[in-house]
Amino acid sequence: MKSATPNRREFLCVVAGCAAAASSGSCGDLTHSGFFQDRFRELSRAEIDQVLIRLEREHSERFGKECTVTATEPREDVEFGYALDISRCIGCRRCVQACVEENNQSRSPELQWIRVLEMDERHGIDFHYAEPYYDPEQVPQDGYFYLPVACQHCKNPPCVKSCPVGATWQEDDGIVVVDYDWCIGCRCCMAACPYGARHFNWKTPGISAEEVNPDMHYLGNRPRPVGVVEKCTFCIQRTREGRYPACVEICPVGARKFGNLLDPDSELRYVLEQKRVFVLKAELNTQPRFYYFMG
Amino acid sequence: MKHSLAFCLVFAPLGACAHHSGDPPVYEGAFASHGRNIEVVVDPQAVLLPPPPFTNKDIFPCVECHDPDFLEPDAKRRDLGEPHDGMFFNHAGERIWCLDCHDTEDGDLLRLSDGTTIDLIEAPRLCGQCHGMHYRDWQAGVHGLRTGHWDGAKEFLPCSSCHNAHDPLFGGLEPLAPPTPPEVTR
Ligand code: SF4
Repeated sequence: MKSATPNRREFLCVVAGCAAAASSGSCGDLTHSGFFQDRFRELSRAEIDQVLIRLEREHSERFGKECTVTATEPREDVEFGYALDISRCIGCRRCVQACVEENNQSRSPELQWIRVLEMDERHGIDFHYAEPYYDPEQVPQDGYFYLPVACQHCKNPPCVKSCPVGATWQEDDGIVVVDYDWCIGCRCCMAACPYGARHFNWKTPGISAEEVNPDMHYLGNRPRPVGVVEKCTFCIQRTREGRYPACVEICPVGARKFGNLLDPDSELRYVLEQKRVFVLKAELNTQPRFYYFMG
Repeated sequence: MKHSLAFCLVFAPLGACAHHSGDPPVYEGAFASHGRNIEVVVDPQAVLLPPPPFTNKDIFPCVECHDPDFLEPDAKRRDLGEPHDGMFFNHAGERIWCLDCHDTEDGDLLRLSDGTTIDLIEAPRLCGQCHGMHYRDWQAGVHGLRTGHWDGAKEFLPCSSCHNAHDPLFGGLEPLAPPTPPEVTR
């Protein structure tokens, strides 16, 4: 609907039109057509397809290998959930590395979506005593347990509410996503997230052609521009195709479980019904879909 | 209504696709709590044994030494002599010994408490006799590693791929590098 006052897009068109004229059609990491793209959620399927073709071309050129960018939609009757067995996790950080490789996180500067916290058994889950920089010769260490933390994909996500431009939202299958082309980098969501799950690209993410994962999703692991926020997407490019997330498949102790909360036969429902389960910072009423349990 | 899920058990390589031919053995005592009934299907055609702990060349196969034609089986519980010195046992202390799991006649077979002998690759049935909770969790995909599809075909590993049956506690690992702390600027 058109309003009498110019909206953001029209305003940007004027401003960027001048800028584009002066800088031969590019603005930072964004190309001319990327800059003028509307917000993802308002694009028609035909427009989305155009965007995907453009992104595929840009990424393939940049990395010198064929990249595919999909925008597979949520399935009906699917609500994703995640469960992590803290009685099994040994804190080996294999999941962190698998996540970086799968999701095209910046190698330099380093950016990681999963943070494994070493927790002192004497204090239990008290983040005051959490140590992310532990580096012994071998894990697990006596007297400690390990608590990997990434986006909790809350049902009541404070980050989504805090975004002034609507660049982050919750999809119908529960995945909280970011439109990297709409994010203005204000970092309100980072302040709002009680789990420290969102990360900001202070510099252009450094990924080499050998490192890049060419199977990309628009709302997932496609390379991000500088100045935007990113976070775990439950490996949207894999899970929307029916596969397990990369962290689930790498964990040497099988501590990570993923599935459909609406399917009574899923591993997730088994965990919720049979195990002792808790969520982080339950008192904040964020209602995470990421459950921790003791197997 | 009971829902029946059949899973293929693929040992290695991970991600390989199981194919069914003939009549694959089905684990008995299909898991029936939680309102469902899971049959765990082992397809010997699809099985490629990785080197799990029990295939340590010094001790496997058992018949290399325990050839019934040359060595009379002795079922008496006793301290094992010098030939077993290189083997390390740390499983339930003194409470169990070889023939609680291995068949007396053919050490390369496992023997269930009811006398049924099973192949080594069906070890979960044997382990599940004592570790019932873990067996149930494993069948439901909650104990141990699963790969593949959350909504379809899955591959999962049997007990002995992660646990050495003679020393089953999962050992430690060297952790990967810690994250770089943020730069402190003053
Ligand atoms: S890979 Fe598994 S065991 Fe290792 S830190 Fe991650 S969750 Fe824990």
